[in-house]
Amino acid sequence: MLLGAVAVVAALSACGASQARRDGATEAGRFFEESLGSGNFRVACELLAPESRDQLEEEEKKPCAQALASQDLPRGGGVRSVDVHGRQALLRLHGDTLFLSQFDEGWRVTAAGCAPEPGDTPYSCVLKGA
Amino acid sequence: MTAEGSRERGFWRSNSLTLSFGAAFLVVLGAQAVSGRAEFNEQLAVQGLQQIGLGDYLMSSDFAVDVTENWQSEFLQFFLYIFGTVYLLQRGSPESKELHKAGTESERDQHMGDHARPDSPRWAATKDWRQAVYSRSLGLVMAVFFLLSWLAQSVSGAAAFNELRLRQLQAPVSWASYLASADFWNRSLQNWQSELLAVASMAILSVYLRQRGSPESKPVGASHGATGVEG
Repeated sequence: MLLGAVAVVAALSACGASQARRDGATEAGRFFEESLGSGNFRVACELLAPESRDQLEEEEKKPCAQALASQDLPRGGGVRSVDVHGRQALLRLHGDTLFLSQFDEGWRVTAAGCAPEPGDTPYSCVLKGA
Repeated sequence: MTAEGSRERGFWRSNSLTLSFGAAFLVVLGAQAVSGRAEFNEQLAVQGLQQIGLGDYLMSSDFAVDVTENWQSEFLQFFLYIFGTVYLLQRGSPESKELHKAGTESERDQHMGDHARPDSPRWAATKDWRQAVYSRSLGLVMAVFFLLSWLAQSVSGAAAFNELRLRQLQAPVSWASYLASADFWNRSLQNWQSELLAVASMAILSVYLRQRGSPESKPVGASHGATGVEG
């Protein structure tokens, strides 16, 4: 019985990216892109993960909103796909790809302006954490 | 001591092996969860990501894969041991049958079919598929538990692997791709080798060493050459 319970938990943990989680990651990503598109960089900054925000401010030596405005970030459109595993997500949009992570406050963008690299190497991203 | 109290004490004593190890299993599983969560949170902290509580960790793929990768190897060990010792022998080991008994043995030796005893399990006395199943049930159940645990390891392992890949800004892989990954096979093989070492060690060390009172050992004074004798 215990074995069965763990098998179920294992299956849930693997396939268990519930629709709510997928929706949460998607909404946060789209909201981030909309904020960028409308020039509302202060809101976009609030949707960044703390580490990514700190890294941006440190590199640009400016407050987040100003630093974000100076970034050459692509503008994402409609959702192509979303992959959620545990508390991490990859959101592919038309024109941009985002990585997100789940925090107590909701989903936050850990990397933006990402593009796949050849082979199995990490995506190259315009904005990311350390 | 009342009769009820005596019966209760008798129950615990009669089942102390299963109960003790079952309770210890739960305690150690809990301890694994606590230490596993701490390690997982250390990894998240390095990347500035949200740390998780014990409840969330218990439902995580990281915990599931760590548990199931060990379970599958233990059930594989017992499955191989149960089936292997039907045919394989070790002279002088209490883990082995006597050297002339290799194989499935006769129905008379196994108290099956016409040779079943009044107190034999019902299916042992049959002569159809029920006897065939029951006469292999211990190994079969271990094999099924192994396969289920290994399947669970593969599913939870793929999820944990993909969560890590997303943290490293890599695209996730499919379950089929994960089955061909180094992570899956390293997790499996590192457990298998340790189980096989334990079985081989037990088979040979029990030829020469003794543990007084343990049925896993020969009697202390038994000769090194005595095979299939339990203490």
